[in-house]
Amino acid sequence: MPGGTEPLAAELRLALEVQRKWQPPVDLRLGPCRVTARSRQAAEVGGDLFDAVVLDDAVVAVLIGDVPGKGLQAAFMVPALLLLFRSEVKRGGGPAELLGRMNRVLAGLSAEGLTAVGVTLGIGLLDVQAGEMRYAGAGHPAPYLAMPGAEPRQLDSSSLPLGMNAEENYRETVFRFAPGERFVLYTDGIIEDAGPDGEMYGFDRLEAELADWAADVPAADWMERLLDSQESREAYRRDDRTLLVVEYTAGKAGRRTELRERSWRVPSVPGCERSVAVELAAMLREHWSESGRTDDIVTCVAEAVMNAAEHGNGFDETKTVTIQAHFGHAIMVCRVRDEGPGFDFAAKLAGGRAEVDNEYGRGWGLRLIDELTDYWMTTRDQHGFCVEMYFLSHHRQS
Amino acid sequence: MNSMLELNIVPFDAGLSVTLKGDLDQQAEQKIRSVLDWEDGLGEGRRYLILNLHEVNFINSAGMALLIRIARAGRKKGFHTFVCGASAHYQKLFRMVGLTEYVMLYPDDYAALQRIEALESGV
Repeated sequence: MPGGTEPLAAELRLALEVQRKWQPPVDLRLGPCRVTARSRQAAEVGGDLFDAVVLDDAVVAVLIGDVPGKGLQAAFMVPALLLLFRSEVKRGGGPAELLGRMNRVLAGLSAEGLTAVGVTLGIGLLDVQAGEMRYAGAGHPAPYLAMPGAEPRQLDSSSLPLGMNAEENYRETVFRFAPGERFVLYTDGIIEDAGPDGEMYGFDRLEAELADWAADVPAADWMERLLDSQESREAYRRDDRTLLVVEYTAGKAGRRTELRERSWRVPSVPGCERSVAVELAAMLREHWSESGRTDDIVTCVAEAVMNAAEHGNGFDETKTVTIQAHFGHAIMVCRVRDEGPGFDFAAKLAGGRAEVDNEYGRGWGLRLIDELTDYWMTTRDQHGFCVEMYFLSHHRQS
Repeated sequence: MNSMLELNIVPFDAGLSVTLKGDLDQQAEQKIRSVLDWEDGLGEGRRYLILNLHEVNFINSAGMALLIRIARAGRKKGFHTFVCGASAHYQKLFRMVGLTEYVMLYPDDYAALQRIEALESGV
């Protein structure tokens, strides 16, 4: 048996080999969707991971992440996480739900080094027919939407990495690809890559590369060139560098016109939800009947409007409730906004089972919204408080 | 846009059959209470209340809470509450909020009356 440092070196070589087998370059096409990923490892075995999976010939799931540590720890954690992802993604649910389930598994491990730093992960689910992406991140660097000739736009996705808090809730961002748009995921090794003078590559350089990325340059070429340019700086690299790009290349312009939008503004008076409910129902029956969600949507919007008028605006007729409905091929988003301070939805959801008769019904509106929506969230800005509800069509494209 | 609630009450041997028409929402309570003060019971020893929602197009959480309050009062005053004619969507919502712990759901008046007959005959 060899002695000294040779066994360790052999194990690391084996680890590197294992990781490479699990992480081949991605070049996946499904209909108008194309996913490309490239990764270059640091001198040590690093912890970047990425994946792309086709689900039911209709959805492409993409993953990018970074596990803490190097060497054997990373080499074993990466395949384990990829297995967990592939197992969980087939069980269904949106990216936030997937992150939640994976988080609970990792938090349950209580692994030393994991609970302190956590695993950063980003998951995107692309509906290939509709060109709609749902993305959620867990402590991972915020992805970019990049359009040739335009400044890239960074999507907000702040949350804790996986494994640190079993109760962490993850938020989804939903968007529809515009013609020519690219969705770009990356690991922190890209940003933190240091030149010989120690200066980081940084977000500014990445954004400049994204803005200069011409429409006719394939994603693989753009990524290889960026990675080569970093390596030309001849620094010692301690971190893996990974890029993953989702492109939606066909049928985009026509689909965009399918997106419909309608908004209402009603005074905060009892019963103000009814006119919105009637008009929304008529619109959905005409344009989105195949979704099978009309009744759910109308109920949720009516409850949200009622809450906004009563609890948000205190039935003050001078204050208005604004309702926006956007729907496309596969998803509908409704936003109900009031001028109030907002509420603690966890406390509200806990209500509704009071033994006192006149307390009955308190919190039921939110309970119905929680049960009937595919996803919902609350936001606040300078204009007021907003309940945002997402509904997926139940209609499956043939 | 609100469709004010209308009620049609038809007594039968052991109870009352109430057909509601319009919206069942926060404004409905006053209207129902004006013709049926459920907290005093159904009167004349009646033990069954059938609420027919076949012509109710809109029910919100306040309307569902009202149905539960009626049914809970019924337990105290010794009458059973039956709800019929609710659409599949509203039946789903009733289950979500726990209304079915207090009322029995039937597709129509006839089915509810059959069940009442069975109860009366001790089946």
